[in-house]
Amino acid sequence: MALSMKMDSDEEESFVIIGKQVEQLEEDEARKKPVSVHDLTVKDSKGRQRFHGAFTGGFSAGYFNSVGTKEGWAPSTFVSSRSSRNDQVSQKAEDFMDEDDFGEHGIAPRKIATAESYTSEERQRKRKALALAVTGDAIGQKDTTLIDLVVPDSLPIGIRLLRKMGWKEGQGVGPRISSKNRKKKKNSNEGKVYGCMMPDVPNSSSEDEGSDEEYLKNVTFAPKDSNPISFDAKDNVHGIGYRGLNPSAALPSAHINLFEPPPVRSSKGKRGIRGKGFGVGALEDDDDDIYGVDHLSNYDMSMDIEDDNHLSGWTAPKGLSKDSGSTPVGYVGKLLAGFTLSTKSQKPSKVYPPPVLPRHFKPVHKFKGPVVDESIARLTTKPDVKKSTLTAADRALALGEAPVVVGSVFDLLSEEDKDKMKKAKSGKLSLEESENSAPVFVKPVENSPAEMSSNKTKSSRWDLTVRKTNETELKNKKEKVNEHRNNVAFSPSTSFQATLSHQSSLSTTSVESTPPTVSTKPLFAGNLTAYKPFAKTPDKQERYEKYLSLMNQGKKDPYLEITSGHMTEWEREREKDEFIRASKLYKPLSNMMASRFTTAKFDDETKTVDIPKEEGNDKSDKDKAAEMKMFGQLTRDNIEWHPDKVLCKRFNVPDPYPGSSIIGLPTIKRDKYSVYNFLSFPSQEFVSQDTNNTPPLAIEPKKDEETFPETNDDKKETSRVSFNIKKKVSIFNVLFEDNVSVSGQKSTDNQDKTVDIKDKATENKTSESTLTETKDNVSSGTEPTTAPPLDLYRAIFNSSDSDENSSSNDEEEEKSQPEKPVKQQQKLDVALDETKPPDISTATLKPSVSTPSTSGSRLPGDNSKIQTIEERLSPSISNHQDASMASSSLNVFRHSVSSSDSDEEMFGPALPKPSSSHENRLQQALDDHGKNYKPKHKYKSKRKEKYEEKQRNRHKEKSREKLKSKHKIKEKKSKHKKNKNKKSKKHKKKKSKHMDSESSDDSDCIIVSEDEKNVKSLDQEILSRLRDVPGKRLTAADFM
Amino acid sequence: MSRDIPSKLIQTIDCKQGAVRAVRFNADGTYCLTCGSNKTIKLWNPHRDLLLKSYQGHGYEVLDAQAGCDNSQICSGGMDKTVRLFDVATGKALRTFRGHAGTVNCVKFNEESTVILSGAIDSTIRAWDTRSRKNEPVQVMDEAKDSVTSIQVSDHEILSGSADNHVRRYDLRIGRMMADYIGKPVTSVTFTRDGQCILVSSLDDTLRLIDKDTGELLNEYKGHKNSEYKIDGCLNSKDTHILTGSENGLVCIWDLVDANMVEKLDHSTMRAIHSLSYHPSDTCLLTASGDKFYVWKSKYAPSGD
Repeated sequence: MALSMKMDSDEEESFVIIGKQVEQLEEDEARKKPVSVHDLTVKDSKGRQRFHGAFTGGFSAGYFNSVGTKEGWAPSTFVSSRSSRNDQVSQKAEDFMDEDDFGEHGIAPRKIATAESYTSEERQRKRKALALAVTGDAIGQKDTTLIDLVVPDSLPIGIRLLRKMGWKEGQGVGPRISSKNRKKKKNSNEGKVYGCMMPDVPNSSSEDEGSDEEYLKNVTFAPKDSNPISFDAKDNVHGIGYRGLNPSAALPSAHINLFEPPPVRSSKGKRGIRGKGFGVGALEDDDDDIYGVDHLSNYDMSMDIEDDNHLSGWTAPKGLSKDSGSTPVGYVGKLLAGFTLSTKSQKPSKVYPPPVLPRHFKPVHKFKGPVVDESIARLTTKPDVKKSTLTAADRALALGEAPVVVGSVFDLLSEEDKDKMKKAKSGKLSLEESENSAPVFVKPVENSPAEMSSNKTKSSRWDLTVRKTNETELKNKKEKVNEHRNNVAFSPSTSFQATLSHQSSLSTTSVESTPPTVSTKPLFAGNLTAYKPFAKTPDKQERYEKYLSLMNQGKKDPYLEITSGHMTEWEREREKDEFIRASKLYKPLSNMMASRFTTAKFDDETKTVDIPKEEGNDKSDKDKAAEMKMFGQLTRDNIEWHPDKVLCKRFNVPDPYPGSSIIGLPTIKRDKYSVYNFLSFPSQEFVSQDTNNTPPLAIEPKKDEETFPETNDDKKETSRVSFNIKKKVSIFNVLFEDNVSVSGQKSTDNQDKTVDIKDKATENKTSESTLTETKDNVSSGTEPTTAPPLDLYRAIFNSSDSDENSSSNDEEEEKSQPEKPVKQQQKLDVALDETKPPDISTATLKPSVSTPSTSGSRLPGDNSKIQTIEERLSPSISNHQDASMASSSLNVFRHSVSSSDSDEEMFGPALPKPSSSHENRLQQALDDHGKNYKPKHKYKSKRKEKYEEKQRNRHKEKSREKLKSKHKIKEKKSKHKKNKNKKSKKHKKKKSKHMDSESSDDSDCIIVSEDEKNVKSLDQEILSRLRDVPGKRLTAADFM
Repeated sequence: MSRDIPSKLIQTIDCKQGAVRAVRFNADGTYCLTCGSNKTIKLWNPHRDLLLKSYQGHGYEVLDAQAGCDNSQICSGGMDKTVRLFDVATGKALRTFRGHAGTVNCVKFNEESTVILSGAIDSTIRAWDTRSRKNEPVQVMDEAKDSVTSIQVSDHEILSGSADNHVRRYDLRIGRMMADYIGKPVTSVTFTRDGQCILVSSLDDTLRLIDKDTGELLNEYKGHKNSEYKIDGCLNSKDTHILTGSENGLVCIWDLVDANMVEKLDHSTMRAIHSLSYHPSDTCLLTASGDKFYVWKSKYAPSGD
């Protein structure tokens, strides 16, 4: 400090000392302790310590330091408001703040800041409000751009200040000066004149001033206003001094006709330079009024060359007016402004013609039933349809094909074309021959009846001579014809077409592989004899045939005419029912067969066949058409095809079949090597209307008589026919491996096969009648019935009032389902394994027939019922049961069981017997059962839904289930007595459990209570019992 | 007239990739692809004799390839039964579609190169979606009974020729398949540029021009030799001429309307000229034979080299 003082004194004037000088340390002086942090104290601006801890002041410090009074805050003194009663006393927060609060670090610091009214936001807001007030609602509140244009009349603060200081507009800024000074100044200013401006000519003003001089002596004048020189940066690329066309000058507010040049002012007397701007160069002599009034005619407003039509100021594209004149001659219509006609003609959009209607298309569908009937009638009215007169048409009928609509394309050809073709062909092949050799051409369904008949006659060359003529065969044939007449009405012609087309494609190979000597008798004669459902009773069979023929003639109630007098009313009723069923049952075989065979191309009589080197002889019609270059309709197939959705999307094409789930061709494709191909019904096969070349059916069109063994005498003749289904064996192969050999050996034992199918459609009979029917069967003993056993079951089941019986029946029924495919599969296997030909019997043909075809859309498991060995076995078990089980329906079964001649007692048409011993089968079934048995499944409902559902299940499962149910019955029966009261209890319990899932009649419910141990022991028991029955063959009849 | 006929051999390029199985212009005709028997595809500028890139990935001979509409991808198919999708720039195989049971004879992109259609010896046409990650075909068209030899794709149609003597046209827009019986195994099918007709070459030394809508025969072109090999036929860029290879080292050119042969391009080889590709707009023809491909242009065109 001293030093600074000293310095101050030394150089007082020149130095300013800022800050505190560091003290000079004395050498001998003790060092000062540095001040620790906690020793530091915070003081306020006035040097008072304001923060105290509890030990350094505490309350008292606070009391003395901050509060100020003993009572705390000083209360505001009372001020009477009497005098100022109306004054609004408003308290602000600031009223309660002290200086600290207003300080820099206080809660309401006071600092200098731009007043809010001067902040840009505030100003803008104000301005906007002002503008709004001025304009009112004319300008919308939202449209700020317009509002921005409105400048409120408010003066800047500088002007306002100046005004307050006495400044007026037009005056210069500065101290006022006397007139004398002013004049002086003025003169000094007017020394030099630069630029183009002429120096002001001194005028009379000085004189005026001079006159005023006397009384203006004391008057001071404001300095002259001078324009400040503005230093604007040049921010453009124009020439110096360039100014754009001033709109106010060019377009003055007063109306000036810009399009006429202004009147030329005579400016002779004037001096050369005037106006604004730089003036005119020295070389220009006449520069009249260039810079005067601007005129638009001085400007080129358009870029292009002068046009003829004097559309000055027209700035639209030049080409338009010219082109619009050259509107093409043919063009009608108005060209849009700005558009021209294209010189390129647009490609005509492609027109997709509607599909070509077939030649004979009629918009109204006419059923061709009567036509068919007529042709059949013609055949039948012929007194004797001999073998030798069996035509191809007949054969087709026999095969269940559609009425022969066989013809060739060449029927469609005109005579000229035929001639042409004849010429084209070598002489060797006549047209006639080629026509015949063209195996099959399926004409569209729309063929006229006349054509059909003509085709029929033509195809007579296909006649087949059959050598073997014995009585039965003749009969069979008759029957066969009848049979197929039957079919004709139902078989869908489309599938027929598909088949045929396939046949034609395969015909060549089949000819080569099987020499024509193979079969000297009609291929299917043996099979067709199998259509004799009532062979046991010839007169009945006869009646049946009559019945069929009558039915085909369209008689409403054909049975009425064939009833024989000796029958009772009841018998008649029953027989009628049988006939109906039989007729329905055996229809579809032909269909199915047809799909497997190809028509022979060569006469069976001729031993050798000339197969031409060139395939010209058996070329398809398409080939011929292609050869004749007749491409077009003949060679074209137009087939519905469903592209995948994604594909459509990728191709940017709308899905042609929205909602269709089919992809590709709309045919149902079958697994090629599935057993179910043989079991399912051909009528089910959906073939699209226009698929003439459907992919070949999955089944190889080889003869598969193995499945339908013929009678023994026919064996050798058909021996060469082999069944070439390979690997069409699925699970059944594995499951029934051991059975194969057995069934193979016993293939002659046809009657063991009781595979049967029942059409539900026929089932409108009351159960009563069926029951009586079976009773009758039993009583008559030798008389076979056509009623398939399963229908019987169903009938019984429907009407039964006894819980147990019906359930047992039902379970038997269920059991019966799965065996069929198995059996068939076995047979196939046998056929595969055996090199020697299997027996072919007439009787076993039928079982393989799997469908009635009336509905056309029947599922295998739907309504048909298949009876099997196990089914037959179960009644034998029931036989062991006590008498309490007996009911009306069961009586029937037992009765039948007691009649041991089971072979004769066949229900339904010629049911084959099981081919293996029951023991074997049971063992196998038990093995199967053991694997899959689930004891938990105790509840068994015999309701229809369940039944159907089960039928839909895999056959394997069914066989398992069947066995299981069998055991349950067994067990149930054995337990029946001791558990009577218990059972009812459990029944209730179970029912309540299952109530939600299965709503069923009480009477239909059977609850079998058992535990696992019991089941096992029972299995053993059954097995042993069954083994005890030695050699007894059990058939379907056993338990009927 | 003669301007339209590519009668002048401009260049003969040895591909050095074994036998050239196919030569294909890209969409605008500036580049071409050759498929070699050494499992590679090569990208060329045929006009400048310039090899640009080669694409590897196939496990066996490549039989057909096509460049996508934007030149960014190449699809190819070959004897390794796969259909592959290459990235043009990187040369990497982006996708490999397996599923064909036999040699893939022909591959084509659809118009937007989002679907690859491949025809194979297993008698199926498979449509592969390049956009999805799925490796299964979108659709399998197994209507053919024999090997599918040739495919063409238009904006809404898939045309295929197969050895079962049929030409099948799948029209996605109307949802139908038109199968035309030709009578002889079909080796090559092509749409005319106007999309109204189909050019079918079959193994009876004949090309047929068939009306697409009715299936009727419009014209027949004979004089070449094609009874064994899969030989391409094509039209020129203006639909005025029909071109096809021949098994005796020629390329035969007919007038479309008159059906008279106007030119034979002698390749001075006795090998079959099996692959042809015509420039989409210019008079320029690529032919492949043996291990070379040839560039033919109008006789007024300047010579190469």
